Formats: sequence, C-alpha cells, structure tokens
Amino acid sequence: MISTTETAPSRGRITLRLQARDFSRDWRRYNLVANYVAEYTSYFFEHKDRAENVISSVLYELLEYMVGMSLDDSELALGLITRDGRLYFEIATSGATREGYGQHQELLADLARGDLDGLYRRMLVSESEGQGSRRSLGIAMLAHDYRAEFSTSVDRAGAVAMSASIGHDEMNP
Amino acid sequence: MTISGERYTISFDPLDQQVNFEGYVRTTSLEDLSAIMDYLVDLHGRHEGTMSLNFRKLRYMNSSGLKVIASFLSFASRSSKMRIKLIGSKVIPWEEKSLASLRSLWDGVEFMVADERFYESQGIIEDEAFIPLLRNQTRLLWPREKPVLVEHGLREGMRVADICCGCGDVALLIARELKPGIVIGIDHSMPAIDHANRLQREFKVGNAEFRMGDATALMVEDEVFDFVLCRLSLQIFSRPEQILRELHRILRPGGRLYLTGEDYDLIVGCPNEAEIRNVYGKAGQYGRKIGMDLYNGRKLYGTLMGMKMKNIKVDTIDADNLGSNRPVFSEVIASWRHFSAETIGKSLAISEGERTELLAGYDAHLSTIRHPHGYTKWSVVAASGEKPK
Repeated sequence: MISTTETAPSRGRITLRLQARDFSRDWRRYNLVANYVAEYTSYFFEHKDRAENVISSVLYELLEYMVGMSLDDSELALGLITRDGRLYFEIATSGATREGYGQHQELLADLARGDLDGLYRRMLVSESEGQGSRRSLGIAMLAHDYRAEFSTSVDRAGAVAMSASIGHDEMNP
Repeated sequence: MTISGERYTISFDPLDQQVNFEGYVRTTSLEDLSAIMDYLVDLHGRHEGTMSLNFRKLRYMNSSGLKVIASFLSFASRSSKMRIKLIGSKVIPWEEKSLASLRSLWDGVEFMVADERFYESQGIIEDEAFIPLLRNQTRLLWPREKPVLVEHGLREGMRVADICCGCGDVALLIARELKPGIVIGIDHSMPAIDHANRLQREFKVGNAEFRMGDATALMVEDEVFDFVLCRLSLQIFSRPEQILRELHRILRPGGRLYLTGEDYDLIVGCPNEAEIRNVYGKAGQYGRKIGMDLYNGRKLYGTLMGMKMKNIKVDTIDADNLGSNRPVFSEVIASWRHFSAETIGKSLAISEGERTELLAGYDAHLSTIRHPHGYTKWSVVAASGEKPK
C-alpha cells in the first residue's frame, strides 16, 4: 500500500506507508520506491538531477536495510523532510526481528566508535556473505560516502525507527 | 562478450580493454552478483596491462554491487597482475562519492573523472563568466537561425534535444516560438544549467527541461528524438567524434541532426579589412592552441556525409551590421575581444605585444561596425542530415 501526502509548512514532505513483505516478494520494489520518492523530492532542490541521484541512492540503501531487519508482516513508515540545511530520511518498521535489531544496535555502535574509513574498508572486503552484513555495508557506505548521520529509537513492542540525514551540500555542491 | 541483468548491461571493449557498465546495478540476487564478479575475474585473467571499468553510463549502483567491485579490486590488488582504472562522471553523484572512496582504499587503483578535463578549454567555456558572451551571440543569431531551423525540418510537436545547450537561451526560444512537444537541453556546465533552469521557471516554459550531462556519454535512451541540435560546440572538443556518436545514437531513424560551427574565414568587414582578417586569423591560431577548431563550419558537410546521413542541407546564418542590431553586434565583438585577449590570452600566457595587437584588431572591427559606411558580416555554417531509416 502506498499513500502520499504533502503537508505544509515542512518543506519537501512526503510520507509513505509500505508493507515489508512486498519488498521480500519482489526486490525490484526497492528501486521503484527509491526512484519515485527521489524524483518527487528532487523538485525542491536547485540541482534537480543531482538531488534525484543522491536521494535515490540513499533511500535505496535505507529501505533495503529496514526491510531486512523487519518481520515479514510489519509495516514500514517512510518520511522525507528538509530542515536546517539537511534532508532527513525518517524510516520506521512496526516490527523488527530480534536478530535484525541486534545487528542494528551493533552497527550503530560501530559507526559511533569512529574510524569510519577502517570500518568501511573491512566491510567492503569482508568475505561474509550474510544478508545482515550486506545490508550493514549500505549504511556504512552512506556514512562514509554521503556523510550521513543517524539516530535510532525502539519501543517496547519492537518497533524500530531510524533517522538518517544528509547535508543539502551533498545535492547542491 | 556481454552480460546483462534486469536493468543493466556489462560489456567488454577489447580495443580499450574497458568494461562498460550501463543502466542500474541494483540487484540483491547473489546469482547476479556472482556473475558480475566471475565476468570481471575472467577478463582479468585473460588480459595484461591496464583494465578500465567505465561507469559513465551507470545511473545507480547499490552497496551490494559496490561490494562486488571492491572484491574485484581487492582480488586484482592481491594478484598485482593488472592496473585497474575506474572511470566515472562528474554528472553522476554516486560515482563521484563512492568510486572515489574505492580508489582511496587500494594501491594500484586509479580513479579518473572522465569529464573533468575532457577538453582543453573546459575551464573557460564552463565558467559562469562565459554566459554573457553566449547570450549576446544568441541575440544576434536567433532571428536568422529560427527560419534556418524550420527550413532544416524542426516542426511543432517534435521531441527535440539540444546537446551542449549552454545557458539554454536557444532551447527556450525554440520551445516558445517553434512549439516542439519537448526540448531537452543538456550541458556539462553547472552554472549554465542553473541559468537555464532559472529562465525556464521565470518564463514558465512547460515544454523545456534542462539537465547536466556529459555529451560523450548521454544518459538518454537510443533513438528517442526527432531533431537533435548541437550548436557551436563541436568546435571546442578535441575529439568531436565521441559526441557525434552519441548524437547519432539518440536520434530516431528519419530524424534530423543539426550542427552549427564557426568558420573564422567567414568574418569579413570593410573598412579595416586587413586588421579584421588579421585578428581572426590570430584568434583562430590561439583557439587551436587550446584545442578549439574555429574553422570547423566548413567541415560539417563532410562530417554528416561521414556519418552516412541522408538529404544533407547546408546554409550559412549571416549576421551583419545592417540587418542586425548594431549595439548587440558590437557587444558580441566586445565579448570576443575580452574572451580572446584576456581569458584565452592569460591561459596561453601571450606576450604584452601580442595582447595589444589582438585588442587593436578587435577595436578595428568595432570601429567598422560603427562606421557610417562600414559593413561587416559574421557567418556561421548550419548543416543538417537525416538519419537513414
């Protein structure tokens, strides 16, 4: 299910609600949703083409990451908003797997430790073929290449929310 | 040898030992990812020297795809058999970010932004300071070029591409006055595209779009345009054939390719005939030194013949000081004077004597324009041909 709304006064707001299982059933939906949201949002930026490429690249990785940690019947909420010179990607799942959530906490702790170059390189050359490590690489790539900043929260029912933000200068050099 | 997936094609060009990636590599299928790795490893095993991975036409690559490239670089680095060159484009942000960081992780991997210095005068032509010159030239040429475009087949409702559109003035004039279905303007200069987008919004032109792009690797599907223009641009590239290949590719069979080019021998005037001939002769020589061919107008017919285009038409677009607005003509020459003597002169470190001579030559041309009995003409060659069906 997809619904979109744009609400003033938040500039560039778009909100989607999506079913995790739709992505597990057909991975091509990652590309479709990332490009749709990117094109929609890119009109808020002066360098539209550049913004579209950056937003789609970031969102693709976030979607794949969040779906990967979600229970099959969970719902994802996605919102994009620009604030204080940054573009925020807010993404939440109504239910994460225990393993997925554990990996998520571990990854954010790794990112917070610093030495992003070292972490990114280790992930790039890691022989591990696990789905979890592949998804984590996407988040490390966003932190390393797009200077993305992350925050996360979890509630008692197992819902996990993550906010990733990138500076507008990534799109308007 | 080619492999392809849902939205990507990867092919090998043995002439350049280059692997060309096109489309989107956004797969999570382990089978697809392994196939890409196997393909690269196989090519690596069968060649020596340097192997290039060209991503200039790859719009997206996800982190899984990037990991395959990283694994290949790691493998190649360990084997020390070949140097690997990654080729990206300035107009595709993910490449600037992610390919550059891959390069920094391994020794023996080179990252080249193909379109960063791909013609000698790029820094001058793509600078914001060049825009006023482009605008003045359009003011002078457009009234004469508009009927030429119609004569060469530009019709209402067509899908039109203006490649190397500069600051977009001509594309916007075409959109408003000749009513094509859509005009897509593509240029590599960010200030020029910003300018074009601002004007498009300001004038509320709904049938025009502008985007940054590399004319030698356009992110445009094959055979989608009815009419493709490339005006006064082939002359600045040292390898125009790379652009011509792309212009031909995006033109539909039966569509027309329209090119214009300068020919400095066609700039004449009297009085001051000798000074005028002399200054454009000098300017042409300086142009050559920075990779420009300011005599390419006369070559356009041969270019179109070489591309096997049909029904070729050639015209000149003549602006003279009688039929044109004299102050605008003077502005154009004043812009050339500054561009040639100051911008190019500085870039070539010409002597003070040469600079003074250039300035005096342009001043002589300016006085011809203003002279009550003076006559001067600037002619641009326009040539177009039809792509065979």
